[in-house]
Formats: sequence, structure tokens, C-alpha cells
Amino acid sequence: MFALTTWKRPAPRKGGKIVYDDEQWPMLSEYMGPHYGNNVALPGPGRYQLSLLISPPAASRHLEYQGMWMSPHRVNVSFDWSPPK
Amino acid sequence: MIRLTRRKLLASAAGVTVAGAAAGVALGEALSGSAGAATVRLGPKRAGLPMRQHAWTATLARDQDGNPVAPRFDRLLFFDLDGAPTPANARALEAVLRALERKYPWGPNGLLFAVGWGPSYFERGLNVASPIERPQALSSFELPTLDDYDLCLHFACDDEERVASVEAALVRGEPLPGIDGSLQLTHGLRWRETRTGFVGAGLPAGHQNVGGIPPGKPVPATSPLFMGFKSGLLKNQATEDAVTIPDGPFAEGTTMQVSYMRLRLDSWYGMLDEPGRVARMYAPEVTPAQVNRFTTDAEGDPQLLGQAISRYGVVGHAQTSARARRDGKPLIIRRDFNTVDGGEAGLHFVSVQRSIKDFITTRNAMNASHAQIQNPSITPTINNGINEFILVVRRANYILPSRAERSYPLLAGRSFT
Repeated sequence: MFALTTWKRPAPRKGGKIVYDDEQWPMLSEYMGPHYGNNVALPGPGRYQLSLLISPPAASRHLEYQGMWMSPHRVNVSFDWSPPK
Repeated sequence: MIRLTRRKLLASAAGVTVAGAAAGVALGEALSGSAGAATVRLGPKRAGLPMRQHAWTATLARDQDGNPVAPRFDRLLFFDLDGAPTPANARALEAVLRALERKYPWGPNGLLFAVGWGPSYFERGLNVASPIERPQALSSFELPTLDDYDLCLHFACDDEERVASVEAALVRGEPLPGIDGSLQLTHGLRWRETRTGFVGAGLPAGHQNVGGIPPGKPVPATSPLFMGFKSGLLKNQATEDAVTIPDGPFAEGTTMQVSYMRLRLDSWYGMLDEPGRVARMYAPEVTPAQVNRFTTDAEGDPQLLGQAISRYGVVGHAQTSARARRDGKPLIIRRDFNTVDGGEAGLHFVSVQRSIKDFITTRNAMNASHAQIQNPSITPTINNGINEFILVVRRANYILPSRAERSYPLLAGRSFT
């Protein structure tokens, strides 16, 4: 599971608004291989905050991977976006 | 997002403290006494109140099938200790709670409330071992903020103005008609946060213009909850007797779990049809027509879980959760309610249970994390009950002492006589 939340600036604690909040879909592509993704519509140009919640892989594990990455991680980044002209 | 609510409250607080101060008479004077416990006038106890703070169900109206109807409006107020706890502060809190009990009858037409204490109250405030464990993340797909508040007050009734005015009185000292003096909880307590909400037919539909709900007003007009189904049916709830702590210093008390979940219903309403939602809420073997005939039990036979996994590739929330039972009965009482705090559709999931272990057992059953091993089309979230649509953002555990012990439990030197 790979969940993505995007806030329009300012930061959520300063009254930013969630513009997208959903699970990502597991996908396969010819040149990227397995990945997660979804189409996200952003409301306009500006600075955005992105929060990813990444669950551990749910799969049978080889012995050397037992006990490795057993709990979710959060990754926070911000980015600027402007629509293509 | 919750902070937005807090900010609004702070913004409106400035204008009202003057009025609160001006009205400060009897109770306010009693509370302001710093000479010690003896100066705080408690006022009489209202007679006939149950020993258990969580004894709410007997006061609730029943629907045509006999299911208790939850109070329609709720407030959760969170406080931290401000300085070391003292017997005088305990009396001050007890005086406020008794004033509320004298003013409002115990029930949804008056006021129901519960006073819960968190691990930090015991560990930092009293320097004793906490009788309640700290909260934790309970699935591979959540990373909640773990609240660390000392005190949680849960208020509920059928009148939104009433819970709002009680909140205003306790947090900002606004006067309550018929009560002399300020009820503001400033004596050794510092307000940290307020959460608000509602549950009941029509209320979610009236609040659906928020984040997390797709456009087109998809929430059914008479649904009591945002997801479009009923909860809290008689046979899906533990009894108050079953969740009551039987002995020890918290005898006649219980434990309270309080989490905040964001509802993400874009695909719930946008991509699933009614049978798809019914399959995920109850079980794939259940049809919408059957749901309309539910009376006191939400069906979702856990005996059919294996079939749901292998044949249907989707499991239902009721079906997986129904595996958490003791002597055939659920382990927790849900006292949850929807919210639009921060402009987002959400759920304040309040539950009471004899021990937090019972909550964890129930949550683990709902997670159904084993299903993927049998059918890879069911992941921890996808096709797995309602796991995909709720994101736990915050969680906390509290202990609810008995009514007699509710104000600063275990504090040495308290006296409420």
C-alpha cells in the first residue's frame, strides 16, 4: 500500500488544504517495471507538500529479509508546480 | 487540520473572556481560592447517577428494532496538567463536573460525559506506573500521531448548542445559564485541543460538502454516518457490563480508545456500486436488499470468510471484525461519530472496552492481514473491508475511572466530601 496526500501551500498546520488523498495503484510498465501510481489533478500553480505513507511489502520473504522493513514509513517532500504553457 | 479548529477557537476566545470574568461569582470565587482543598466548594452530588461513567446506554432512545440511538452531537476536549496535580485542583475539577450534573439530566436530552486520563497523567503527573498502555500503530498501513494528552473529556447529547456551550464554558469560561461562576478548567489544567462531531440520520448528508467526499452529494439523505450505513447495532456492540473493569482501583471503570480517522470516500462513492460497498462493509455474500432488512445485527458471517477470500476476492468489514468475540459477543462498545474538523470528512472513533487489548484484538481482526496469503487480489487495504477508505491520523488511550474516582484518580490526599 502506498498512500499519497498532497497539501496546497501553505503547510497544513497553517491552514493548507488537502487537494489529494488516496491510495496509489500497483502498476506494471514496460520501462519502469512494477510501480505505484495514479493520475492526480492539481488545482493550480504553487508550492505543494507531499506526504507518502509507504507500507512494508506484503509478501512471503526469503530468510535474509525476515524482520527487515516491517513497519510503514512516511516521506515528506515539497515541490513547486506550474502548469505547462 | 485539527489545528485549524483550534485556531478558530483561539480567535473567538478573546471576545468572550471578559463576559466570563464578569459573571464569576460563587463557583468562580470558590475555585479561585488558592489556600487549599478546603476552600473549594464542591456543591451537592446529583442523586441517582450511575457509578459507571460509561453507563450511557440505558438513557438512550431505541429505534424500531430496539437498537440504542447514539446522541447526535459530541465534543472531545483535551487538556494537559499545568503544574503538579494537587488535591485542590482535583476538587476544582470535581466541582465543575458536579455543577454540570446538577444542571443537565444524565442522558442525551441533558448531557452525557466521561472523564478519561492518559498514561502521561500517571507517569509524569503522579510518577506512578500507568494503568493504561500507550497507544501504538495497529496496522501496516497507518502511522498515526500518538496523542500524549493527560485528560480527555467526552461530551455528548442531542443538542448541538448545548455541547458547544459546555465546551465554551470549560475552555473559555463563558457563562452557562443557571450556573453561578466560571466553569473554566484553568486550575492546574491547560486546554490543548477540541474535536467536534455528529452522528445520526441526516447529519452526514447535511455536512458532505467537505474534503474526502466526492462531488454530487453521494451520502444518502438519511444515513447516520458518512459511509452510508448504520453502525452500533445491538448485537455488534459489547454490553456495558462486559466492558467494566471488575476490581482494583478502577473497578466500575473502563478504558477508552480515541482515534481520529480521515475518510477518503472518492473511490468509495466514485468507483464502487452499492453491491460493492455492501460487500466491503459487511461481506460479499450479503446483498443490498438484505442490508435493508438488518434489524439488530449486521450480518457478515465469519464462517464464510474463507469463501469470501477464495471465491470472491473481497472480504467485508463486519465479517472480519466479527472474529473478535468473547463468548460470542463483541469486545468493544463503539461511541464514534463523524466530523468535518479541518474541513475534511472524518471519524472520531471513540470506543470503550475492558482493556486496550480488546481493542487491539478487534483492530487486528479488522485488518485481516492474512487474507493476501490466500488470495493476492486482497491486499491489506485493497478489497479488504473498509481499510482502504479510512486513514488513522491520531490515536490515544485513556482510562475512565468510576464516577467517584474520576477527578485526578490515584492522587494522594484527594477529598470530595
